[in-house]
Amino acid sequence: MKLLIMAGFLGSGKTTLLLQIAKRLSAASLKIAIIENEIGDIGIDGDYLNREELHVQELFGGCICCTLSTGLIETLEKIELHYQPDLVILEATGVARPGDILTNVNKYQPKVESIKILTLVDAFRFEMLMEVIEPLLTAQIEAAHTVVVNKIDQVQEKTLEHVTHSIECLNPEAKISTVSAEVGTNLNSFLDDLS
Amino acid sequence: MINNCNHIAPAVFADKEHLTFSSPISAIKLQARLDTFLDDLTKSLKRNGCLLIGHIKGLVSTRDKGHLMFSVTSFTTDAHFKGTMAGSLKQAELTINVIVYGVDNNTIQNLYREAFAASLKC
Repeated sequence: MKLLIMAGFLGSGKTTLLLQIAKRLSAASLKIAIIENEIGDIGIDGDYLNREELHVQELFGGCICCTLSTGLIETLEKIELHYQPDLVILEATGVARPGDILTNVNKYQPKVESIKILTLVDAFRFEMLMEVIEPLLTAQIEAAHTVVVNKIDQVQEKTLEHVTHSIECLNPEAKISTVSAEVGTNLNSFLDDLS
Repeated sequence: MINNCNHIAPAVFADKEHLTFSSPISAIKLQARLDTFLDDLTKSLKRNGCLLIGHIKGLVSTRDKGHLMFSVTSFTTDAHFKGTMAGSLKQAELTINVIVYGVDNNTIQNLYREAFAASLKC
């Protein structure tokens, strides 16, 4: 099975985009499993995704890049044993460092064919968030294979240029896509690329 | 606050409530009450030292009338709703996660209880 790690700060639109990705790939007859990690003691996104008839495993009350790392490996093993998906999409908490998740998952490497990290960035809040939590955002962007700049319908062209330029400086190797997962802007071309 | 990930950690409050309305309420009215509740909560969080809203998100679900997801990510923008809920409701389940920076869990809990009592208590 392949693994797609979806990272990005709280409220950047991970669950909304994940739903679009899962629907697209399921329609292409791929077997998808989702792992939802939430830092709250009560999960919400898993319940929402279950309503969309997706196969979801939940891990709450901590972050898989540190406190719940063992739980993540056990969950991956369980999914492989009982469901055997083509792709596992792992939605990290908004405060997770995907590089640390990758280190933890690498312990499981023999059963995972490939691992990709996709980091979402909230175009509307990017500049403000960089002032408050720059180390976390930087770590999330630097670890990504693909950075998706989301909520582009909420910003001016100039702001979007500034955001994408900042991302290019932080991670020149990453592929950058600009979308609005909610409105659907550029979503088809992004999903075509991802497929 | 620094967590195991070695960065500033948010405070997290989660709650699940069963809402029972004394008389049936329309889905539109319920959304309006949720909107007021979220507006009150974010304003009081800011007044009490909250520096940053990470994410306030929740789900209101019913057995057969649909569901509403809500999300707040900023002090300056309105709550965002998605999903569909129709008809009039006697009962619903509310699940909410409040993840914010600059205030502690007890403060969130107290402010949440006040906002809940003002707008959603039945």
